[in-house]
Amino acid sequence: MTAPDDRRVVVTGLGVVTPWGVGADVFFDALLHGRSAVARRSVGEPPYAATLLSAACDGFDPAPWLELSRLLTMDRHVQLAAVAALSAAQDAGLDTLPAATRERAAVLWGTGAGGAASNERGYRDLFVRQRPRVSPLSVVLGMQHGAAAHLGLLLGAGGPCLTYALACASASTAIGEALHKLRSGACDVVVAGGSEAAMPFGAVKAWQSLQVLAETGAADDPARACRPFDRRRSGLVPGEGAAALVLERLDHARRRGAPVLAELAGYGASADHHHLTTPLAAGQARALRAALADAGAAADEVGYVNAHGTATLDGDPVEIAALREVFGSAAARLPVSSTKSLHGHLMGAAGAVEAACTVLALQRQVLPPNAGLEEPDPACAGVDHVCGDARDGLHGGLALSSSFAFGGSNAVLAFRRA
Amino acid sequence: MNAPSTLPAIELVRQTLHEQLGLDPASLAPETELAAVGVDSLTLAELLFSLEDRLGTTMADVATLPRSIGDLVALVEPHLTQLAAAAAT
Repeated sequence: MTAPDDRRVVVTGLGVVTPWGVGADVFFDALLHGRSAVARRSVGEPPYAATLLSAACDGFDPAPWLELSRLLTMDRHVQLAAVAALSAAQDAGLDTLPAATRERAAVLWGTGAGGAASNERGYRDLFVRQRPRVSPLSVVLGMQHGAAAHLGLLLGAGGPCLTYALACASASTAIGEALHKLRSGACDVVVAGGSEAAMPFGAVKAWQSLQVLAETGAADDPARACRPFDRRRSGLVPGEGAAALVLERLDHARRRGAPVLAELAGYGASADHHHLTTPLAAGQARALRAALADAGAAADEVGYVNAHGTATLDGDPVEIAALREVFGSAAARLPVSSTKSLHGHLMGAAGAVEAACTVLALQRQVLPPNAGLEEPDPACAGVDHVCGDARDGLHGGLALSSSFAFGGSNAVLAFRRA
Repeated sequence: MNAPSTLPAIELVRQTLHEQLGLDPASLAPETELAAVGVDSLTLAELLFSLEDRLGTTMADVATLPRSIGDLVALVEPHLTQLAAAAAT
């Protein structure tokens, strides 16, 4: 049964900043055409330098959006967030929002590393350059809720201004919690999403030590290094970017004549309570079922899953096992793709960028492929992997976006076609 | 950029504001209020920090926070004189 309009929450704006530029369409078109942003990049300055395979917003220029005096106080992940949020606000026509509504607008944001790069700059000044002090802006550049705080200022949003830090599930959780806040009437509009800047040197070393980053042979194409669910996958590829969704109740959107891109119909969260880094299918299945139940939907309504699919050796088979557990015999017909093969793993922002991708798939009725998947790993079999070319048509009105984080935090979003 | 000690103080201030905040140097007169060109308490702190870096000194004992370009020039000037004197010896 469909919920009344004052209980349904819809997406009325999308703002996306990715390696392909600012905009939802440029992002989704790149995914549909299998354009990879993954390349070998250098980080840091010798002797504190490393190379890694990553996807980054190399040409990102926030200057047309934000004045320099403000940029000075923003870590790069905040700059990415600000451009995504301003773009989403523009898309949703929030500039005409009455002042009283603005006071009831919220910002719910996710980030994993937050201002890690700014903090590292400060440490480098102190410990490497032996400077006696650091920039007076160090605290505001490094604070974990810098993005949410700046977005509140930029948008004039007077409602709750919250930051979620659950590693790779940060942004999905922010978007899911926004659904609850809107249903409860705690606020009228939410700008929700996430942002993550490219890893600084110290973080690259930490992730390399964990031995989960993708590697390629000298003869291999770096652009195809991220291979979720493939037999030859070797690990994840860090990504960079931001995405923001403008969310509001359907009746509110209708009253102000806002475009409705999709419905955010359900959200499921769970914890594995199993291990810090080894995922558990049962925990992920709980989040998947919770999202479906929250959406009031049956499993056979799902026509697409934008998978977490990071391309780690251990993670991918567990995710497929969770899908098989929830969808049973229907899993074999369930279209699944991980778009991380092209945009990399945006960590705390992954859920936002992939939620945007899921909304666009519903809107345009086309499924983006897992461009890195050529030889499915038998351990990842049992679903309908969308690989090769983009696939026209989305059967069933529902699409899921999954995020499964280190620490065992899981978040699944369910979107319904508008 | 010229070495700081060879620049008039107002040019050093103008250059720093141009590089940090993108302000047009020609628009910055001694009487220009900092607040009017978008310098708030946070960016002022960063600006002073940057000027200290260029001068290789500290202005930690600033008694009154500068409010105009002229105030900044007055803060910087004694340090430039010291630098010039040190360079001459």
